[in-house]
Amino acid sequence: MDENYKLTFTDTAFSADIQRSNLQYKKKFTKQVAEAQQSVEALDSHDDFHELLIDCSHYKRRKGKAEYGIGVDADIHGTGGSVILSHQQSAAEKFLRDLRGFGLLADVVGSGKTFEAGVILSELAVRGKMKSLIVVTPDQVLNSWVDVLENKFGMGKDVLYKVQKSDGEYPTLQDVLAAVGVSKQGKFIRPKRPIIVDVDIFAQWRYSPDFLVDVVVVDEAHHFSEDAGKYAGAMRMLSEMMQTKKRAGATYCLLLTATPHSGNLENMFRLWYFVRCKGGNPSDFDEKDDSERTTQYIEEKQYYKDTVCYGATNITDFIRRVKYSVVMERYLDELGSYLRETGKVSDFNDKSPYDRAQYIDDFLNAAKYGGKKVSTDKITGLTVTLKDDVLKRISDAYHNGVLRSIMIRQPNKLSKRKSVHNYFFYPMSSIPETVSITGLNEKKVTVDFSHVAEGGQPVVKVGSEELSLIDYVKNLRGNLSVEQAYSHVLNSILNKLAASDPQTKSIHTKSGYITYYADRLRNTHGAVAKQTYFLPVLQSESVKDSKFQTAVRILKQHKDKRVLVFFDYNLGKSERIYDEVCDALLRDPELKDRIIVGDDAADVHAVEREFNSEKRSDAILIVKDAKYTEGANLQESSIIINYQVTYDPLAMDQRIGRIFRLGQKNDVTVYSLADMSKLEGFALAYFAEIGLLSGNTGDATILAGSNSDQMVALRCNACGRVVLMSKEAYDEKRKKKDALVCRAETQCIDAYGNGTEMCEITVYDFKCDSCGTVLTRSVSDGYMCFSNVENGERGRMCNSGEKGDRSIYCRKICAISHCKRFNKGGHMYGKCPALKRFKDVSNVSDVELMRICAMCDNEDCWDKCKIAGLPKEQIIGEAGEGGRCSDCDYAGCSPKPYALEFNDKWEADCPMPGCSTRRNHGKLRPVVARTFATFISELWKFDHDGGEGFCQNLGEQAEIVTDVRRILERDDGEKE
Amino acid sequence: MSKQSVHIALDLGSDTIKIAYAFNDGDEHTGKIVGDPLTMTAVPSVAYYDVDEQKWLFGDEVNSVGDKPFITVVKICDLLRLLQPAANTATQKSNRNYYFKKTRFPKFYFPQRVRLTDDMDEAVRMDRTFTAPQTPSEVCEMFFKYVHGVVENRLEKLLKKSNATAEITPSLVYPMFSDNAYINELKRLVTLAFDTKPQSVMSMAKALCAYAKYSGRMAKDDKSIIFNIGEERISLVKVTFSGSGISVDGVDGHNEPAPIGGKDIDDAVAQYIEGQMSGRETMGRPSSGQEGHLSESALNTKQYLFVKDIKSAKMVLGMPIYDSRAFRYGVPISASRDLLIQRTITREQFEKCVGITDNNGVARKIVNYITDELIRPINTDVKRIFITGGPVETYGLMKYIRRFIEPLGVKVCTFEKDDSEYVGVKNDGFNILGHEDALYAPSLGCAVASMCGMTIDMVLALTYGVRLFRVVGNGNNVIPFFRVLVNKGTRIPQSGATYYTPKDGDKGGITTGDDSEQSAAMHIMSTFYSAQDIEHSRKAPLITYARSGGENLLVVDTDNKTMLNKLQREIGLRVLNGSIDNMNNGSRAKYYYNGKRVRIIKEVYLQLGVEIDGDGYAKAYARNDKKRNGGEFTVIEYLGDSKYSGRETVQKREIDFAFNIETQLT
Repeated sequence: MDENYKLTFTDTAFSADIQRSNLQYKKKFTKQVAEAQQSVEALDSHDDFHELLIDCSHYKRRKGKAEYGIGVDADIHGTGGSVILSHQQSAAEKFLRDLRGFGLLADVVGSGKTFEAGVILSELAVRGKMKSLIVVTPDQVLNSWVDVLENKFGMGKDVLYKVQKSDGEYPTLQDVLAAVGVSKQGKFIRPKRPIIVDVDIFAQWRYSPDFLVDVVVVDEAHHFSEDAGKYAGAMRMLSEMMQTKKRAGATYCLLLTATPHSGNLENMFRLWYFVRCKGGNPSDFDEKDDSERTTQYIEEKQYYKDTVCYGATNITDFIRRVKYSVVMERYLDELGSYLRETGKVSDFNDKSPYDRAQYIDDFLNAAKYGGKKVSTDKITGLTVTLKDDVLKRISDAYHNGVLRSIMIRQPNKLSKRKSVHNYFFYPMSSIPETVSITGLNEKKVTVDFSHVAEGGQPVVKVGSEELSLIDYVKNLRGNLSVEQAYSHVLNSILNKLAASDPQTKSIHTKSGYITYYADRLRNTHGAVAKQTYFLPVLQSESVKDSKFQTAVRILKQHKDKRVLVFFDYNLGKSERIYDEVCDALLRDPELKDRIIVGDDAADVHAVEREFNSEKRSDAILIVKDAKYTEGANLQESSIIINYQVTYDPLAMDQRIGRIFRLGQKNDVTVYSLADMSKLEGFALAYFAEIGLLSGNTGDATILAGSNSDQMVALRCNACGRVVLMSKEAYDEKRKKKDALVCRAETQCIDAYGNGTEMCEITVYDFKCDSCGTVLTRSVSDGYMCFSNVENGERGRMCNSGEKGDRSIYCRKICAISHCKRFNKGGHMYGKCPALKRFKDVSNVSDVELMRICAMCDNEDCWDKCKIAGLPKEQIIGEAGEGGRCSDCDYAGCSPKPYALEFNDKWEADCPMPGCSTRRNHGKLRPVVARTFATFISELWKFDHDGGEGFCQNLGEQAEIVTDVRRILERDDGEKE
Repeated sequence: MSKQSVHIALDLGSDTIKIAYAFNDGDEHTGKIVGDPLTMTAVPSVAYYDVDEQKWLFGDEVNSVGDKPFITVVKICDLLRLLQPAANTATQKSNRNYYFKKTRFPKFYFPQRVRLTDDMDEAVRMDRTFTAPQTPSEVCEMFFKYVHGVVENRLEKLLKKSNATAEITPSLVYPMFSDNAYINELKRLVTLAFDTKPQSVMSMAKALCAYAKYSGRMAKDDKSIIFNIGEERISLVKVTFSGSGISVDGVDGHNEPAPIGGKDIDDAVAQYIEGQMSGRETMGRPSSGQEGHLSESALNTKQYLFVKDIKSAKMVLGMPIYDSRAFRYGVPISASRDLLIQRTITREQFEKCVGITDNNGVARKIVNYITDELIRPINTDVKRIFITGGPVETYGLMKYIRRFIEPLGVKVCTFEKDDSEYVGVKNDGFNILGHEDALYAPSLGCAVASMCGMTIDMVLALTYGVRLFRVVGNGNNVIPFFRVLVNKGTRIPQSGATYYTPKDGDKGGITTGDDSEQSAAMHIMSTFYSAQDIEHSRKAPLITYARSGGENLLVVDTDNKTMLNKLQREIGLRVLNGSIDNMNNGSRAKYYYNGKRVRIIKEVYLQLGVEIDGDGYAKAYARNDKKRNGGEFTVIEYLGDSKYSGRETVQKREIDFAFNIETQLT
C-alpha cells in the first residue's frame, strides 16, 4: 500500500470526522482513490448485511402467527406504521453491517433496545441464519421479552420455551433440550424451539460441546463483566457456546445493555475481550488470577488498559488523562505561555502528571487560553475554542474510542423529554417583608417576601413591575446565562436573608452554604435552572408544612394524571414522614380517592396493576417502601414527586427510572422538594448540577458512579472527619510524607504530636448475586444487621476479633428483640429485664445485659435464650448443640440471626430465605458501592469545622462529575 | 404517714457518685442508693451535652445517647477539679473563673493518650474543650439536683413498706487533699440540691475510720494504715483506734500520693484488648500480614462505650457471681470497629494484663507504693493495713498484694465483708453487695457517722518545724538547726490550727532588713521526729546535734548534702517550702508593698508557720509578723525597670512577703 494512505493511531484515531478531514485536506483525491471507492461500493453490494431486507416502516403492532423464527409475513410486516423508530433502524443496520451480528447493542436507557433486537432477529431470520435462538435475560424482564418477540414481532403465542425457576429448582440444559426436542445436523444439536432462559439458570448450565444455537441474545449484558459470581459463570457458558458457534460459522450474538459500565472502565474489560475475541477463551472467564489466564487475554487487557483507556481505570481518571494528553500534544505552546505568564513553570515541572491536572484545568479555564478560537465548526459555523476542542477530543476518545470499539451506541435521541422542577425551601426564624439587593446589572432591586407566608413566591420589584424570581432572571440577565444570573441573584438574596435572621447559624449549620448553593446553580443546566424555585419558609411553621402545601398544589395541578410520591427510605424512624403525609393526603377530600399506598406489606405486582389500570388514571401512589423504587413498572405515570430527596444518586436514578423508560407515552415531569438546611437540600443542588435528574444522556449510572468507583474513604480517628479520594490520588498521597495527616482540629495534632494520619476505612458493601440483598456499612456504626430492616431496629453485626475469624453474626440481644416469645402476644412479653434495658438503651453493653440476665429470677426463660454465654455461640452454636437462635422457630427475624461465614475471597452464602433454601443459593460478594452516598452522609455528620469541609468537598465532587457530564453530553455520534 | 429521718452520704468519685444511707427506726438500716438496681453499682457522675438538642443529660441518662458521639461526656469531678489548687496562683484564679463564669467543658478522651491539662486556659488553647450554654458551676448544680431526684425517688421505694416518707439529711465525703474552695463548693451544691446544709462533712480518711469503727474492724490501740486506691491515685492515712475513739494521723504522709489507680488498670485492659484485635480480619480486606490488610483503629467518639465495658468487666471479674453460667466463658468487652468486636476477658487474661501474672505493670506499682511506706521507720508499729477504693474489687489484686506485704509481718485487710455474709442476700437494689462494699466504705462511714453523731479526731503524724540559726560560742559560730513548731501526736481541732515561729532567742530567718530585697534562705520542714526525740534521744546516731542554752539542737546544714541525705533517711526530714539549696530563690521570701516589689531598708519581722486543717493537711506559709512589727516604720524602695528607687517610709506591718512554696504536697 502506498504510504500516503497509512493511518496512524493518535488521539484522533477514533474520530472519523478528523480522519476524514485529514484525508480530505491533506491527501489528494486522485483517480486511484476514486476507483478504490467504487470498488468498495461494489463490494458492499455483495454484503448480505449491507442493507435491511425488511422495510422498517412495515413493522406494525399486530399479533402474528406462531412459527419458528421471525419471518416475513405480510400480516405482520404489512405496510405503513411507525413501530420502529429511525434510531432503532439505524442501530440494527449498524449492528449487522459493522459488527456482523456479533457485539454489544448499547443504546441508552429507554431507547427500545428490545425492538432493535427484534429487528435484528427478523433480519437474521429472513436470511435463514436463525434456525435456533436462545434469549438469556434476568427473570424480572423475561415476560417483557416474551411479549415483544411473540406478540410484537410475530413469533406467535407460546412459541418461546420459557425456562424459569420453579419451587427453587433449576432446570438443567439437558432437561430443557429433552423438553423442546433437538434437531441434529452433523455433529451439532439444535433445540427445536426458541428458548428464553432466566440468567440465573443459564449460569448453572453445564456446557455440551455439540449444543448449537445460531443466535444468542443476552439482555443486561453488563452484569457479565463481573469477574466472580453467577454472571461470571454465565460468561463462561457463553464463551463455551461461542466456540461451537464459531465452528458452525454462526457467530451471531447480541449483547444488550444500556450501561456498559458504571464509571469503572476496568470492569468493562471482560465484555470488551469477549467481543473483540469473538467469545474469547472460555477458561479466561473462570475465577482466577490474571497470571493464570491465556496470553491473548493478558495482551488484550494490556492493550485495552494502556491504549484504549489511556491507562485510566475509571471515567473521571480517563477524562483527566486524555485531557492531559491532548493538551500536551496539541497545545503545548499555549500551555507553556500560560505557565510562564502565571509563574507556574517550575511548579508544573515539579509535579507528577497526576498533580499537573489541576494546572491543565486552570489553563483551560483561563479565558485567554481556553477561550481562544482554534477553528470554526464546519456545520454550525460557530467558533470552536481551544477548550471546546479539548473536550471534543476527550468525548471522541470516550464515545468512539472506548465505547464504539465494541458496541453500537448511538447518541441519545429519546423522543420523550424530562422536565425537572426543583423546590428549595429555605427555613428562617423570621422572614423579612422585603430585602434590598444588588441585582443584575449592578442595579438595586427589592425582593418582596410578603406573599410567601400564604404559599406565594418571592417577587422582585423592578420599578413598578413585579416579577417572579425566575422571570426577573430571564428578562434582565443581559449577557449572563440564566444559570449565571440566577446564581448571582440567589447569592445576593441568601446573603441578605442570612444577615437579617439572627437564628441563621443555628438553622443553617454548614458554613459556606450560600456559596455552595450559588455555585451549584451557576453550573446547573439552564433548563433546570429555569424551573428552580426558591422559597423562604418560617421555621416555626416548619418546612414540613410548606412542603406539604407545595405537594398538594402539584397533585391538584395534575388532577387527571397518575403521580408517584417518593420519600427518603434511608432515614431513621424519627424522620420517616410518609405515614404522616399519607394520612394528611387522605384527609383531603379532593385527593383521598386518588391515593394508593405502596407499603412493605402490599404485593408490588398488585399495586402495579392497580396503579396502571385504566380506571385509576388519576392515581397517586404513595411509595412507603424502597422496593417500589427498583424493578416496578409504573410508566403509566409520567409525574414524580420526590417529597424527600435521598442523598444516594443511584437511588434517585432508580426513582426516575420507574417512569422514564420504554413505554412512556408522555414527557416526564420530576418535582423535588428539599430543605436547604438539611442534607437533602445540598444533595438536590448537587444532583441538579451534575444533571442526574435532568440529563438525557442516559448515563445516570455513570454520573452516579463517577464519584463512587475506585474511591477510598479515609477517616481521622481523632476528630472523625471523613474524606473521600480516588484510589490513584490516595496512592499518590501515600507516597508523600504528611499528605494524609489530619489537622482539622487541635485534638488531631495533639493526639499524635503532629497531626493524626487519616486511616483508610473499609467501605465494602456485600451484595447477594442472586437476590440482591445488600449488607451495608456506615462509616461510624459499621455493618448493620439486615434482618428486619423495615422495622428500623437494626443491630450491629459482630465478630470475635480473633485473627483469621471471618464469621460475622447478629448481636444476640438484637435477635432476642425479634423473638416472638418476647414480643407482643408471646408468653414472655414484658418479662425480660435485659430486653427492656436494651429497648431503653440501644448501646447497652453485653456485660451489663449478662449481669441483668444473671440476676434475673425468671424461671420461664429458657436457658438457651439467656443472654449468658458467648453471643456467637448462643446464636449459631456448635454443631449439634441445638437450641440456638438461628434454628429457633420463635426467631421472628428474616433472615434469622445468622453467622455469615466468609471465605478467603470474602464471599458468604446468602442467608436470605429465598436464597439459602435453594440448591444453588446466592452468594454475598463484596462490592465497592454506595461509597459516595456513604461519604456524603458521613461528611454531613461531621460538623467540628462548622460544616465548611462539607460544602467544599461536595462542591469539588460536583465539579468532577460535571466534567463527566459534559463529556457524556458532547457525543456527536459516530462519524462515518 | 410518718417521717423517717434518713442520713444520706454522698461520695463523689471520678466515675460515679456513691450514695449510702443510714437510718434508725429501732433497728439500724444501711445501704446504697442507685438509679437502676439491676444495672448499676453507683450513680454515674457524668454529664453529657447533647449538641443537637442543646441540653444536658446526667448519670444514667447518658446511656440513652444512642449512636451520637460521646466526645461531650464530662465528668463532674473534672469540673470541680477546677477549684483545686493549681500550679500557680494565676492558673488557679483562671481555673476558678472557668468554673464559675465561663462556658467551656473538657472533651472526653480515652485512652489517656491525650491527657487533661491542669490549666483550663491551656485546654482551651489546645481545643480540648467544647462550649455549652451553661457554666461548669451550673452544670454541677444540675447534676446534684439530678442526684437529689434519684435519692428521693429511691427512698420513696425503700420506705414504701414502712409507710414512711423520708426526711433527708445529707452528708458529704470529700477526697483527701481537697482545697477549701472545693469543699465549700461541694457543700453549696449539696445545700442547693437538698435544700439543707450537709450535716457531716468529712474527708475520705475520717469517713473510712468511721466505717472501720462501725463495722468493728479495728482492735483497741491498733495502729493501721489505710491505703486508698482511687481512680487516679493512691494515697494513705495512718489510724489509731483507742478505747475512746479513733485518731487519724495527719494525711501529709511521707509517701506522696502516686498517680496510680483504677484508670491505669482500665488502660492496661484496653491495651490488652486492642493488642489482641490488631490482627483481626477487616471486612472485605486481605488477612493480617498480607498486602492490603487494614487494621482499622478506634474512633475516639465511641471510646466512652469501650471504657464503660472495661469498667464493668473489671467489676464482674471480682464478683462471686462470676462463676455462675452468665460469665462462664469470661466477661465480654466490645470495641467499635466496622463490626462490633466482641471479645471476652477471663480472670487469667485479666491477671496477665494487669501485671499480676508476670509481676509487673500496674499491680507491681501499687505493691511498690505500699511497701515503700511500710518499710519506713515511722511505720514500724503498723501491723495491719487496710486497702480500700474501687480497685480493691479488682480480681486477683488483693491476693497479689498480700503475697508481697504479709511476709513483712503486716496483715492486709479490706473493708469488704466475707463472701459468706452475702449468701442468700437478695439484691433489692439497696443492699451493698459483696463486690461493692469496699467502694461504699467511705460513704457508708459518713452516713453512719452522721446518724450516730460520731466525731473523729485528727492527730498529727508528723512534726513540723522551721530551720533557724543560733549564735553560739564567741559569736563567730552560727548553728543552723531545726526548731519545732508543732509536734507529732498533737490533736488538731476539727476546724484546724496554725503553728508559727518560735522563741525570741532564735535568730535568722525571721527578721530581715538593711538593704535587702529578699529574706535569707529559710525552710519549713517536716519530720517524724518529735521535740522529745531531739531533746532526749539519740536514736539516730548519725545525726548531728549541738547543745546551746541548755537545749539540744538538731543541726540542719542545707549546704551539707550528706547530712541532708542522712536526715531524710533517718528521721524523714523533708522541706515543705522552696528548695533545700540555699542559693535557690525559692527558699527566700520577697517583699511587697501594695502589690509592688520593694526593698526593705530597716528590719522587719517575718513569721513562718504551718496551717493545718481539720484533716491534718499542713500548708507552710510566710507572712508579716504584725504583732511584733507593731506600729513601727521602715523605709522601702520600689522596684521599677529593674532598679530600686522612690524611697518611702511605711508601717512595717504593711509589708507583704511572698514565699515560694512549690514543693508542698498536692
